[in-house]
Amino acid sequence: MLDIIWGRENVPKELVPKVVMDSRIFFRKNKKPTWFEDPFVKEFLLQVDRAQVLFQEALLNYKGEGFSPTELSTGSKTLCCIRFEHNRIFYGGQLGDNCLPFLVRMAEERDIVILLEHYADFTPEDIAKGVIRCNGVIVDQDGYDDAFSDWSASTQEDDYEQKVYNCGL
Amino acid sequence: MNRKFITVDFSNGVDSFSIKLYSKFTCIFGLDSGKGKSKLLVDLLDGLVDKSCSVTSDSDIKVRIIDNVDLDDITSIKERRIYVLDEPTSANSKDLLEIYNTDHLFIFICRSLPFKNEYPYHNIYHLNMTDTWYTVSEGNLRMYKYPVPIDTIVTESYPDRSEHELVSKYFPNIIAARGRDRVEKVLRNLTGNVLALVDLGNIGRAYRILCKRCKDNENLYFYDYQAFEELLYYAPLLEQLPPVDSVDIFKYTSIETYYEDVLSLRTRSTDFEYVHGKPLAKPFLERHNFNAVFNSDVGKLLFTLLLNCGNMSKAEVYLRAQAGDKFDLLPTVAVADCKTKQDCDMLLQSLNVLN
Repeated sequence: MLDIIWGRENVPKELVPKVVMDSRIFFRKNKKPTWFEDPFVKEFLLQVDRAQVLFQEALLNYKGEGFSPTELSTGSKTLCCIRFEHNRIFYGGQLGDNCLPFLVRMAEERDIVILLEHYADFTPEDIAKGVIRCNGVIVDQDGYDDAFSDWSASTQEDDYEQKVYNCGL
Repeated sequence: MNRKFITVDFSNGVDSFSIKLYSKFTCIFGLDSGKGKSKLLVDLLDGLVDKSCSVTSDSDIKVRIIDNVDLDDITSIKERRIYVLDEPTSANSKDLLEIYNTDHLFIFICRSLPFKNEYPYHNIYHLNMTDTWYTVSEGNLRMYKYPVPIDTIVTESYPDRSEHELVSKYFPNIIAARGRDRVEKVLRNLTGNVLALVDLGNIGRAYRILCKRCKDNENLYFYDYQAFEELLYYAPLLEQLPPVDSVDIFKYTSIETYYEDVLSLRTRSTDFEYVHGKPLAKPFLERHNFNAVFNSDVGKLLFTLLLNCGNMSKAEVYLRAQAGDKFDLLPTVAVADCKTKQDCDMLLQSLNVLN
């Protein structure tokens, strides 16, 4: 299942230490060569970044040039982190719409929690799989759109001036 | 339309792209990953070091590219700068608020801005990589063009407030969404030709879901104004009032708030006084002032639409077309009594108000 927390202000206090707002830094510090041997990882790297895995962290771009995983898109890095770091809540703002089908496929296999602060446009097919939960409830398209709009309407500026929301790296 | 903006040009010596800044925040985003958002910043930083890239504005304001949000750099600089930042959402809320409260302008390369930071529709750019550099394209909402007929108008405002209060006098089928974030829900299941009156100057995070509504309904259109208050501010009705030139739009995080403030300042202590959240001043709502309210650069499409598709009788439409600016000299009762073209021509002749 994919559980969505809308807005950093709604991350329960006990979960704040698990939140990773910047997966680029997390990826750089935590990636492992074996990550890139995973067929699923190879698949999304090809789709999202047009990158081929030659051997572990040796990658080839669409121009036939070698490059390192640190040059991957933030979306691919975030997907890698979600794939292998099961005890974290990653910031979904770093996932492009083309990453979402891969996120949903992972959510069909295990429970994932992400933090969102933008309208991530899941495809109707992905929503229909019934693995996306907002506020603990499995949502259809209307339910998902309602959850986003309700959260967007609920945020008040003075909340941010009075309190500090510090989701760590 | 005469909107003030600053142009920022990003060049690698071979190709370039430009973006326009209309207010404090501008957003360069990529819907998909792998489109070059992060790479753009790396290329700019590298290019500025080896002088292969330049980032300049057409104003006196210097442009600075920064990789990480460094408070000391930004908050200690008093002179206005334009900062280009990648993914500003990583910092904590207090730090970000301090940055936002400076006088600087920001170009964010990101997918979302935290909090309620608003940016206008015209400050949203989509980024794409080319073989030699990058290009940007503007937002994806479908803008209204006459003569598309409209079946339903949806307003962002509450019923009998703001644009709903005004436009409902001239258009029968109008729905008040009761807030920007409620508009998409109203639009979700509407069919037919729909015109949404949404403050594009404040669209912010609602942009993506409104794009989805445009994809779902090919007959959904948005009216191109920054805010309803922009329409009022530029109404010919206020011509006699001196404009407000002293307020800096770039100090505002929200263009809607800018127009509320300048409109309020301009109309203070006059018959046209505008107060946010209160009913409109009577002159705006008087039917004989229709031309004087709508017939401006900002309002002209709405003017034409309401004239031709609204609830005006054919006689009234004819009289307005013939009398032009002198329409308000015609007594309301006499206009209502006109049933035929002959009646109209007699009225126009009797009062000698033909164009």
